Amino acid sequence: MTTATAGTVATGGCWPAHLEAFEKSAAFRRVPWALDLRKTGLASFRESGFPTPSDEEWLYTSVEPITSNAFRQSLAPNVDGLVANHAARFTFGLKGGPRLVLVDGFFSRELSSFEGLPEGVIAGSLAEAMESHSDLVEPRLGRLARPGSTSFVSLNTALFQDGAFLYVPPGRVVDAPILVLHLSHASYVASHPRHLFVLGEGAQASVVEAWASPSCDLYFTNAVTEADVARGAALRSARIEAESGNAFQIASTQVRVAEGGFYQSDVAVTGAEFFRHDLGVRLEGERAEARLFGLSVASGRQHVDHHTVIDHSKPNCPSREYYKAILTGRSRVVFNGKVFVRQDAQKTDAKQTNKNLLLSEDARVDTKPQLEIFADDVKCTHGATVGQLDEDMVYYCRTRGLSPEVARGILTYAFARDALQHFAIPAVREHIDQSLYQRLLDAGRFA
Amino acid sequence: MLEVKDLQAAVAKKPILKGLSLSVKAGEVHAIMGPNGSGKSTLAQVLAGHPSYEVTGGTVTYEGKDLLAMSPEDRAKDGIFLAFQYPVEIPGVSNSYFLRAGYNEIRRHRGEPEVDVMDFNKLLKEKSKVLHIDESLLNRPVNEGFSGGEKKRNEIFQLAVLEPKLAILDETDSGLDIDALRAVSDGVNRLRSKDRAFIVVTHYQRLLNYIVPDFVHVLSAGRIVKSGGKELALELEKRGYDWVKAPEAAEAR
Ligand SMILES: Nc1ncnc2c1ncn2[C@@H]1O[C@H](COP(=O)(O)OP(=O)(O)OP(=O)(O)O)[C@@H](O)[C@H]1O
Ligand SMILES: [Mg+2]
Repeated sequence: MTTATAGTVATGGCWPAHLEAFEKSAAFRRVPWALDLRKTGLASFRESGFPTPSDEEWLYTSVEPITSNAFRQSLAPNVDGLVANHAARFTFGLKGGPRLVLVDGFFSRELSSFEGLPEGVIAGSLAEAMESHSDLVEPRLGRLARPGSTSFVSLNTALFQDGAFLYVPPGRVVDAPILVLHLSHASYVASHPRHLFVLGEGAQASVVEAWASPSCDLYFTNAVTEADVARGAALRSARIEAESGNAFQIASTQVRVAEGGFYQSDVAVTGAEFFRHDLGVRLEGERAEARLFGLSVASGRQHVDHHTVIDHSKPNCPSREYYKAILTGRSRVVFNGKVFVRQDAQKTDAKQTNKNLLLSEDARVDTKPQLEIFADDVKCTHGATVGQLDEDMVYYCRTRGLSPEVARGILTYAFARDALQHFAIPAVREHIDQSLYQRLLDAGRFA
Repeated sequence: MLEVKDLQAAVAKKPILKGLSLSVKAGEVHAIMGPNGSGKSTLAQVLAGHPSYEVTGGTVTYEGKDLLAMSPEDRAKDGIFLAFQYPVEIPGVSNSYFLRAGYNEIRRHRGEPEVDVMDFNKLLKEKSKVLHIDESLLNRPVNEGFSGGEKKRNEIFQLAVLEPKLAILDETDSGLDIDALRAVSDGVNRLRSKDRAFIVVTHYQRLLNYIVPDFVHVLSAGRIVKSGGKELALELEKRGYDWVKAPEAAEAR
């Protein structure tokens, strides 16, 4: 007997219809120079379809929730009172200062603020910048996150409509961290926001990409961020995943760092039912530096997947990567960290560490550090651990009067702080610290 | 205060304590001596409530309550304190935070209001002066990277802050330099009172010159084989343990 199952075609479910409809829309061809890029995205996705379980990069993460749910393409933002209210409330420790707010993947000028941005800095909508600043956008868009590199980047390239754009001219320093706040507020909607951050030579900026839900709608976000860090420039970025338990997100962040440039990425995941992040950093000039930190706190049935790539192609580049995860319930965390050291990348100094704390027998971690070294004069180390709380420590705390719950809370919090202390943006670090402390200790119990 | 009767305990199914009896009254200091492996730390851990030690027989009554039925934290809150022979390192948790958490749990239990960071830090400062503890240790993670002697001092520091009713010191003197030994002993002597009792496990008579015990017990093969006054420690120092050892311990040699 053979059973025909619906939705098992590679580009299954609602997706062929989205592609077809969007291809015919005015938005698809609004910017003439981007038409070829979009068409490439479309063709690549139609060819590859979604990743299958046998795909090496998707061994531990099934895209089934994305292919099986019937999403609608997000065509306009759902800005109502609730969203406006939450846009003001979600500060992630950043009081005042510049903020770019996106609703359902669309930039909202009315909810955004440009306070504290120095002259010459351009911040706003990517869709607008594609027309008004094509000189800055065209040479970069789709060059770092290339259509065809992954199914989801292809899909985003075909379907994206808006996102955040930031340009910091050479030598300019933006002191105040820029909050890029994403709110999704429409049931069964799929959005494909796309961001481009460009730092000129010697420029400096901090960008906080925060993702939150004003309500508990079920939705899917397929986000792509490209960042171009020119010579001697420094970009400090944080990504805060704090969406509701009905949010599904797949994201790709692709960064290029030129000679003497600096890039730091701090990723904190506490929310979303399903989160996959592909983070790629190319160190393309000598003495370019990358620092990647991650802290995931997963509970319930959350699924968190970090795939990172640091590509050393020039000599004398240091890179540090430190990802930690805490798991309870039936949650699952995947870490796959690749470090490539190309033949020319002599004197590379790369260190990668992944540590996981399993607080439940039903939770599961899959960790795979991967070092591929083609140069001979390098210093590279990597290590991964999966462990439980040390019962001797718990007992020691108990002999000082602490309940086992509080003892475990303190020890778990200490485990998290060890990664958090490296986060680059102080206000964000403190905000996450406080919310973790509350979750792990004030509540008395971590659930 | 504490009544131990015919206590039997095992670790990993191996019997260690084999019928131990001990009676401690408020205000007393009891020294426990005995050869390596005789069960001194086992006794200390059983009294503190270590989950890996299985009590297989006997009773322990503390202030009229069945101690063995209490959780380690309830024992601590009711005034039992163990200074560990091997203090545990807790990376990432500062000494002062750790102590304040315990201190406030104990106060809550006694129905007293919690103490805030400022007031508690004042208290820590005072106590650290008395015990000659370097203040920088207060903000370092609990015991992490502490020298052996610093760990032992930190245990006594915790004791001084938590002010228990029954303090058990497991070889707190091992690893201390002469000045530290004096500082620790001074600290303990200052805490001696008619309401507070001490059980001091040691290998060295020297400590007992500073902390003068009311009773000295010799533990051998899981039993107390001899008890006496402070002069028993001097005699042991001279003659060793062979003459008091339990027959099965002598045979095992
Ligand atoms: N986890 C364990 N598994 C097996 N045996 C153990 C364990 N813990 C303790 N023991 C054994 O129990 C016996 C008593 O140990 P204990 O630590 O109580 O001795 P002690 O009198 O404190 O010795 P010391 O003077 O060396 O500190 C020893 O023979 C020891 O090897
Ligand atoms: Mg011992």
